[in-house]
Amino acid sequence: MRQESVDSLLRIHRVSIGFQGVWALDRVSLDIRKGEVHALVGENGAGKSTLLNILTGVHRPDQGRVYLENHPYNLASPGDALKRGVYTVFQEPNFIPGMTIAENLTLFSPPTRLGLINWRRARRQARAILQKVGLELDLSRQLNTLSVAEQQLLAVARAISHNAKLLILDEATTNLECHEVERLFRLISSLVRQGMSVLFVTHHLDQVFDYASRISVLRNGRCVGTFASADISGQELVQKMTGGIGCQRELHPSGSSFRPNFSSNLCSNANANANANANANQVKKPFMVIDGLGKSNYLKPVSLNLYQGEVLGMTGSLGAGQTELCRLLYGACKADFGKVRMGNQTGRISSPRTAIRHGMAFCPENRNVSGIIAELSVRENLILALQAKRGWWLPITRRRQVSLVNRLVDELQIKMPGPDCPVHQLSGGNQQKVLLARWLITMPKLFILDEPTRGIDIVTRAQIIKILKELQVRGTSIVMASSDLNELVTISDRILILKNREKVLELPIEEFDPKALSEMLGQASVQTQIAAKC
Amino acid sequence: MTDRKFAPVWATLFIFLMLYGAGAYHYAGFRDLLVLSNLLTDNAFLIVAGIGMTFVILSGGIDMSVGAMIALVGVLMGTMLNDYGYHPLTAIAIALLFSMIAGTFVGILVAVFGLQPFVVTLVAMFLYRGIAYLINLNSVPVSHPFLTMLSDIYFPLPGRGGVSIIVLVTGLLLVLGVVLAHQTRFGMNVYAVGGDRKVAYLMGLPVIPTVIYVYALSGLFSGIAGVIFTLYTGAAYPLAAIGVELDVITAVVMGGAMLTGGVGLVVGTFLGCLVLGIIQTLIAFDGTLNSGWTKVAIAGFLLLFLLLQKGSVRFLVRGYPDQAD
Repeated sequence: MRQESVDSLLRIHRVSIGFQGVWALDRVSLDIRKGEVHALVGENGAGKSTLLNILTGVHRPDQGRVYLENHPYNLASPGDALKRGVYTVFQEPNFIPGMTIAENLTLFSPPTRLGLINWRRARRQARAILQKVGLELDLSRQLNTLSVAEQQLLAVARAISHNAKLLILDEATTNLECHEVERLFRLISSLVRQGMSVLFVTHHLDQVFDYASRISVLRNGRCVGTFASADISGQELVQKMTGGIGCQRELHPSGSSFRPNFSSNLCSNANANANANANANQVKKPFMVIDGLGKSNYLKPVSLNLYQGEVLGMTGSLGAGQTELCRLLYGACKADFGKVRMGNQTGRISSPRTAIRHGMAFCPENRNVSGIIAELSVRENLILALQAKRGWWLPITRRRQVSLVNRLVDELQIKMPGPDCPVHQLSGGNQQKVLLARWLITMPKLFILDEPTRGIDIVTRAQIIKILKELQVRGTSIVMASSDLNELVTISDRILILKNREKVLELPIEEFDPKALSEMLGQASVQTQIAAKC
Repeated sequence: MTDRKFAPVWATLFIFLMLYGAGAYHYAGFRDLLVLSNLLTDNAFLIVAGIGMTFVILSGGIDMSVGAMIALVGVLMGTMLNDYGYHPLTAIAIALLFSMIAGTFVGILVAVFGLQPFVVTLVAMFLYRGIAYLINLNSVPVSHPFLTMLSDIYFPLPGRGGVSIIVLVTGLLLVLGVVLAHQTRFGMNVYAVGGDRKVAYLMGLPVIPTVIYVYALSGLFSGIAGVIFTLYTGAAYPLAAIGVELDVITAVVMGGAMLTGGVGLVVGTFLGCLVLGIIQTLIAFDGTLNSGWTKVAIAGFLLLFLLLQKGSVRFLVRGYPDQAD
């Protein structure tokens, strides 16, 4: 590909950066043209975040140069990036939660008169920004009352209002649904036509092919290459990302979709097992009966039976009640009504402590907020759940801790400098594995997982699914919420569908049709949108 | 901007009016305007220190050195007037300059070195108090013809009430505080830094300078509170104003500010100070009650307020489970 002939906006030239003697980026070069959507893909820990941190001014490269429109692009702080016209929309949009929309949109460059902020003009400007992107929102609403999708659109709107030359989308579509992604890209493509460039970082390869014109692949801190999206197939791309080793066995393309399908040879054994279990359920007694569990303003009553060694998949559109049900089951949130029967005991799970005592484990949706204790070491995080189950007055000997940790790290292939390294230094996928491992130590009877594979690369995802399969074979009952239907179909024995915080459907996997469901969910969210507008 | 933001302020105002109503109902003398103007004069130093503290708490920090700074400024003024014969205006200017520089140092320690505000300001507290002792161990009168002239400025109002120079200055500083918080970039930055420091940094806002300014401002306002306190008592005493920082924090919290930062209003702090003051006035009017009841009443109202705030927060985030806990 001849790149000299095309107008380039941002040129990254042999950039390297190291942390503690390890090269996070090793002579990476890439080139973003004016008016293109350029995708950046790679596994967790490939160096995507580091590269973005350089472009946003959080880190400075040790070697190499970056040029913006042929001028050196050297940043002292994130503010400089914004001044140069490089805006980033993060997975969690960058707004001050307690401030209103008007205040947030004004914050960066408030219109002033005699040194005082002119609020009337500020509000007028904010309204103009909203109109540009077709959002109809009350300017005095506080930011934390908006949905993630609205916040994301607002973040794009803010970038536009400052005449961004380059818009970086850092996993910005992860929390969005299909039609919301479409809406975002409709807006973006109109801007791209006007000459803005977009650097699109994501794990969703289908979106990469839908929206990006060129794709750059990072692997282990190196740039594998830049490809035109028309010239490369999904399978080839996955190979470039993973290095083509070790993934062939686990990842099979299914039909025209390149999305990895997990029901491969590897898992077929477990599948057969699971299905046998599922059949046995017809006569077997449920190990846990949930009778009308609910909470006002939170989740409408849900009744369910859970069986040993069975996976119950849960899905629905964002905020349909999956997280709520998981939290109620685990006692992270107290139910107002309904009861739970386990064996001979009937009652409610009133707190996570009770849940743990009954052999339950919970892997929450947002691992950074509610799962991992980032400052503690890998070993301490792993021991945490076991210690809680044993009671705090029975300490676990250091030797036993080390041997446990070593076993788990081997089993789950957690990549880390050492067991005493703080968890926050690990990549996202490895953090998730630590979280899983923590619960595996306790051998839970019921394992509740809320979006365990969100924001995680394909190989790690496959490993996580494999771990769950093994657990299932060993007799653990699993409840898993996921928005990835393919993944759910491969692992679940039964599927539970939620809508508007209510259980709407429960099906054995054989009767489940993902296509029909997508349509149903898509329509449902459109309908709620219309309802919200009225 | 939102009505919701003003909810705690309305609650504080309601408590104040209730207390005032109860006083006016029981004691005829309470209905005089004198009570209100005395309330303002007596608590002027608290209000002024509270304005500074509001900014600190909005930024997510805390300042424990307020009381010590008040005492030190008084002692500095006493020495400069009595021992060196400075003109009061010069003495005040030097004292205020000192307090602002001291606050700036605290700010640098917090913002640049990343030390915890509580501990840093605790260091400052011991240091200021110690220096005050070193300069002068005893209470000395602070008097000067110019100061007498200042306290003679008085605009009488009906009902035996009136506006003293102290109240006038306090009112001006209050207006300044409100404008600073809502009409300037600095104010916006304080709210942003306290609301989410990381986001503020990524948005390119000047996080470190803002934090430094906040502590410089708090230093300056405690200094002014010290001057007011000295004028009001007419004496300089190194043991003065012990624990005042806690009263100030109480007032700020009663005014609706959250110690986690990003939430609160200067007006709320003003009302919080008035509530503290009127509790004292009520107990004084009664005459039979032990002054210990003042603290008990404050404890009760503060607890009530915290519970109300928690309740209102929970009510507001209902339906947003991710933020509920």
